[in-house]
Amino acid sequence: MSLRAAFVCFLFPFALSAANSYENEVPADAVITLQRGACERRCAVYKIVIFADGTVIYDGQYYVKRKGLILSQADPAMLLKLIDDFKAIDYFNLNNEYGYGDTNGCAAVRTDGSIVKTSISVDGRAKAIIHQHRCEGAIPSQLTDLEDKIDRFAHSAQWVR
Amino acid sequence: MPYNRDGAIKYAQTYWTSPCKDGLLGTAIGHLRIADFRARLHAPEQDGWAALFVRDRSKGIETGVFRKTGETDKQFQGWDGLEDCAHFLSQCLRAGGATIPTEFGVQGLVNALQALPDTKTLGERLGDAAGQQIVDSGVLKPGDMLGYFNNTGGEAKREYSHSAMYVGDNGITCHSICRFRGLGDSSDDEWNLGSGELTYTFIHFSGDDTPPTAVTLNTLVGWWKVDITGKTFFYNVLRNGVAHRSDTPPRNRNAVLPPGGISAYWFQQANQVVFTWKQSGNVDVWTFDNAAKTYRVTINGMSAKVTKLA
Repeated sequence: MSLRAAFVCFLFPFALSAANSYENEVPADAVITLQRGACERRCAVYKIVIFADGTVIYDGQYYVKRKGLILSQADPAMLLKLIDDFKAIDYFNLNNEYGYGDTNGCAAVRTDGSIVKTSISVDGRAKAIIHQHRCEGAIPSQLTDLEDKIDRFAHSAQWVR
Repeated sequence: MPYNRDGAIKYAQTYWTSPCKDGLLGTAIGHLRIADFRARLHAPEQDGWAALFVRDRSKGIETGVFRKTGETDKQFQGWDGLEDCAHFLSQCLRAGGATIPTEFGVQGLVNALQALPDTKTLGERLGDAAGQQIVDSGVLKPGDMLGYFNNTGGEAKREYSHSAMYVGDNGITCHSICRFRGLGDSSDDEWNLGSGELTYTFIHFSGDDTPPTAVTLNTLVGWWKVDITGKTFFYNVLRNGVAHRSDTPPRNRNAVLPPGGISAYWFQQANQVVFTWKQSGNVDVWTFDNAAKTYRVTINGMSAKVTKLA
């Protein structure tokens, strides 16, 4: 995928859709995004988009080692596992927001936290969640783990830290 | 001329919810000019557009906007990248007469303040409990500075990431996010910001400290053996308001400890002397007992036995 085409998809991650089963292979329409926002402690601000073929686009903004767009390739075979990680926490049936706008789903609310947006588009379904990290609780903790897994899949630490 | 605490506080009271008087804004990509934002967004001040920081507590964010009655806000800076704390604080301190440059980074501000001859670092990168001891010691005054070091890593780097000015009553004022204890919603303007992920550095302006009494200088300066909870330490209390601690006794009464070790500042407070230990945040309170001709001492509230070494 060209960087230009990939960036168009980056801007419109839900534009791609198709009805595929993903029991054994990654549906061609799969797109996963992660967007980490600011916090008072100057959290790293960057975006990641992952496509079905393992293409990764990273866009570093603030407080990161590498700023700007980077096109990379991750192991597409591992993408099924990442999609399963979304399924494992029942991602499609969670709230759209945790700790962002209200405190529904938060057992406690801390003073500071970054705002992390995730999304997945796969098999004709799409879902996005805004997770304000001030919000603590069982589901927010699962979301934090999922966000970290997206980072690990994309090997983003090399550009962030 | 000593630092003017009231001048610094007054500046903060005026600008705690708006960009500073110098017309600059600290951001993650460097400092920007409010005038440039006004021109780009067609929000001239003379037409009634006020520049403000607006906090959305429900989302945990703050943005910079131009606001005019009857008009929709025009955002000039989003939450991502807004970073005006060190700038705001440097302007407050300069308004109080502190001879520091305008700073936009917290580490730079800490360095500039620690280099001043009239500041004392009461505690450096202390945890929450130790920090509270410093706050409770009475040495920290409104107008003093707090630096916040991100201690846990994770989402943010291990570095100084935030700064604030102490305004008394356990509270602070700062930018990004805007706070002023007693003026706004006081749900999160405690000095520690309620975070377990930070450590705290306390920088005190000492020009208006009470000078030590003659009795204090005559009785306190020298070497002391300090016994507390089965442990023994040795303090070398110097005339210049500094003390050093050693685990081993001095070879003689004129022994001097090498620099860089465990150190404290000591302060006269009415009839007491208060030590603040920079590395640990321990607070000693020494009260001279005229009848016994020695000091009654507590360390973090626990009694200690002290003996002056001849």
